[in-house]
Formats: sequence, C-alpha cells, structure tokens
Amino acid sequence: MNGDFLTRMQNIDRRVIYTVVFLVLLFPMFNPIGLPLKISLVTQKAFDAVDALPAGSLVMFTTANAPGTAAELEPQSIALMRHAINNKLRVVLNPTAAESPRFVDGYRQMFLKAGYVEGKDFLVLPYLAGGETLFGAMGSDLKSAYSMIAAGSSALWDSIDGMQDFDMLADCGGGESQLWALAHIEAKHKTPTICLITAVILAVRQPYFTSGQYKGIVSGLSGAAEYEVLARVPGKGASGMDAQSMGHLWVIFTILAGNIAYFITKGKKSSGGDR
Amino acid sequence: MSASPGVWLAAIFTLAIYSFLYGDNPVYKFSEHLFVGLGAAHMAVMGWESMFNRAWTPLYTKGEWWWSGAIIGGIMLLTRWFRPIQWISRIPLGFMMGVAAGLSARSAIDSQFWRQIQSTVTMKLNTTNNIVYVVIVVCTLAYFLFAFNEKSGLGQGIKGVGLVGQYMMMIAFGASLGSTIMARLSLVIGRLDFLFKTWLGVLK
Repeated sequence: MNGDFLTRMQNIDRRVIYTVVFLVLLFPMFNPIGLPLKISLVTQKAFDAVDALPAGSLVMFTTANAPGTAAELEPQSIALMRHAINNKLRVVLNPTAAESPRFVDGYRQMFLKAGYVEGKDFLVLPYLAGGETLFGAMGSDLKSAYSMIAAGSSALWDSIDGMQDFDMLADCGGGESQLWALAHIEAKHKTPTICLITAVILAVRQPYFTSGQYKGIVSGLSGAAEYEVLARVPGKGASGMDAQSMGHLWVIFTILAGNIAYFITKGKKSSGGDR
Repeated sequence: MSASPGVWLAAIFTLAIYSFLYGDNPVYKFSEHLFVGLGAAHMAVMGWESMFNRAWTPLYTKGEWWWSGAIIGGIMLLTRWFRPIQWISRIPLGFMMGVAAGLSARSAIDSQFWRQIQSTVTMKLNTTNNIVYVVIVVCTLAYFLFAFNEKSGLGQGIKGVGLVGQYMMMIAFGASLGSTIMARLSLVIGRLDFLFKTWLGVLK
C-alpha cells in the first residue's frame, strides 16, 4: 500500500471526519434502514418490573434530566411515562435537578392529555435543591421534606405517608442520583427501584443490577429504543437507532483504519523505511 | 419550517455551537458565553425559589424558626466575596461537607459496599456469566494486592492472576469508552432531529 496514503490517513482533517459523521447519521434518519434491535436483559427486566405493577400502583419518578442529557434521557422518560399511562399507574413526578422542572412540565402535559387528573392520579412535586441530602430527607420523612405542600391540597399527596407507600421508584439521571436512590430509599424501604441512565454510566451501574438492588436499567438511546419496542410506544429512541448504528460503524471503521495505517507505517519506520 | 421564535433561536445557537467543529470563532464564543450565563441565571433562580419554598415560607408563615439557620448559613457563604470576612464562609462550608460526608458514608457502606460484597460472595456459580463475573472480580482484586513478595512462588502466582485482572480492567475501560461514544452520538442525533424535524420540518 502506498506509504503516503497511509500517512495521510492518520492525519485526516477533523472537519472531514465530522462532515462524514454528520452525513452518516443523517442518511438513515431520512432513509430508515430498519436494523434489527436486540433487547438487552437490563431493559427487559426494567420493563417487566413496571409491567408487573397492577393498575393504580404508586410510582415515584425522580428525574435529574437536563439539556445535556436529554437526547438520551428524554426518549427513555417519555417511553416510561406512556407505559405508566397505558397501565393506569399513579405517578409522582419529582424534579431533583434545577434544569429538570421544564422536562417534568412536558410529562405533566402528557398525563393531562391522557385524561389523568392532577393531584388525584398524578402529582408534580416542586424542585428542591440538595442532591443527596434531598434523597436522604425523602427516605427519612417525605412529608417533612416537602412540607411546603399544604395538607388538603391534593388527594394523592394526602394519601401518602412516606416512601414506604410507593410500589416503585424510577430514578432518571446521568449523575449520582441513582446511587442516592439506592442508599436512602431502596436500602431503607426496600422500594423496587429501576434507573434510567445515560449510556456512559451503564458499566458502573450494572453491578447494582447484578446484586438485585436495581430491578432493571434503561440505558442510553438504545435502552430507550428497546423500552419503546417492549412497551409498544414508538418514539424517538427507536427512530434514532439506525443513525446510532451507522455512526458506530463509522467510528469502528475509523479506529480500525487508523490503527492499521499506524502499525504498517510504524513497521516501515522502524526498518528504516520512508522517514 | 417552524414559526416559533424560540425554535429559531435554539436552531441558530445549535449551529453556532457546532461551528466550533470547523474552528474556534467569535460566533461560537458568544454562544458559549451566553449558554454559560443563561445556565448560571437559571440555577440562581431555581436555587432562590427552592430556598423560598423550603426555608423562607415555613419560617415566615408557620414560625418554624429553625429554618433561619439555613438562611443565615446561606448568607454566611456569600461572605467569600469580601476578603476581610472571607473566613466566615468556611463555617457553613465545613458544616455542609461534614453533613455530606456523614450522610454518604453511612449509606454507602450498606448499599455500595456491603451489599455488593454480599451479592458477589453468595453468587451461585450456575451460569457462565456468573462464573466469568466471579473470576474477573478475583483477578481484579489480585491486581491490587501488593503485600506479597514478588520473588516468592505465591507472589508470582498473584502477579499472574493480577495480570489477567489488568486486562479485564482494560476491557471494562474500553466498554466505558464505547458507551461514551454511543452517548455522544446520541446527543448529535438529538440535535439533528431537532434541526431537521422541529426546525426545518423536512424530517417525518
């Protein structure tokens, strides 16, 4: 192979690479390929845990969704909300990050559109700062943590004494909130917990699934797509998977091509070749 | 094409941020600073609202005087801006760190330490996955054993097992990197979806 070509391959202008990434991702968005989607065990278990809840079960959805993570967490959250609506679950929406209330407002609209009555079938808690201390307070005494919600203002809130009344906790976020949920709520009240996370942190959350602390995990855009398929609620997750797969192929190609070119030219250099 | 000014603004700033991929430029810089400024303003407003709901309202309306401690602590934090009394800010900061350390240490021991060990030790070796899991745990732990003489037979054995653990860790780090790439592509897909579907309306 031509040495010049191999050397040039290792120094491709990043603008060329980004342009190709752009085109590779865009092509399947306009022309869906319909690549097969394999359901992972963690998503299947998360779906099973939610699906097994009888109608009227009470679920708390804590979310730290933010603009930086929304591309992954929003399709997951929407799929979960639609699944909850289809199964007639009662949901308490709880934004735990400063950026989350506007996302929660979108879920509120979904519930209202589905005929849910706010305060009776679902409830939106106000955002409270605190991070782990908030989860600690929720685990200890939920009603005191949200003491600003007046008694009598909501039938659903009045019927809740604490986290022990919840049939499931679903925590959504790309940070540490899933660990706080485990530490302060799952461990204390044995509340079945699932988490919706960014793909980056799957590797460090999976041991908690293996140990049974999480009943299931929905991870990244692929997890959203899998959940949409399982819950039969088509959305952005499944439609983005073709693009994601094509993007992966491009990344794999560039890694392989770059490494092959590097090792060939390295061999030539060490044997006194074209230097 | 969208008629919403909000969508247009979001689309223009998305393109402005992506212009960095071509090279650093003033349009990118302006968008970056605006984004950081808006983020800070949003956090400040949400923080204020949270303080108002959580501390001020119960203090003022219900006479729950103990919330005044939180408000005074918050004001003490602001003394960082004034050099002569800067030291005052260290008091609430130390308190916050102490609470955070106490809270996480107490809870982490059970959920992140004890139950992880428990589940690994009691794992039934009846599936290939479980066997691989336990082997990797043992090999990885062996990599961090430094208390043995490397020249002894036992030390050599542990070093060999640790070497396998080292490769397993590298595979795990590789998997994490792969997940990171996947996540970044998801972000781009999300933006492309916004640009071509929500903004331009050319994507069904």
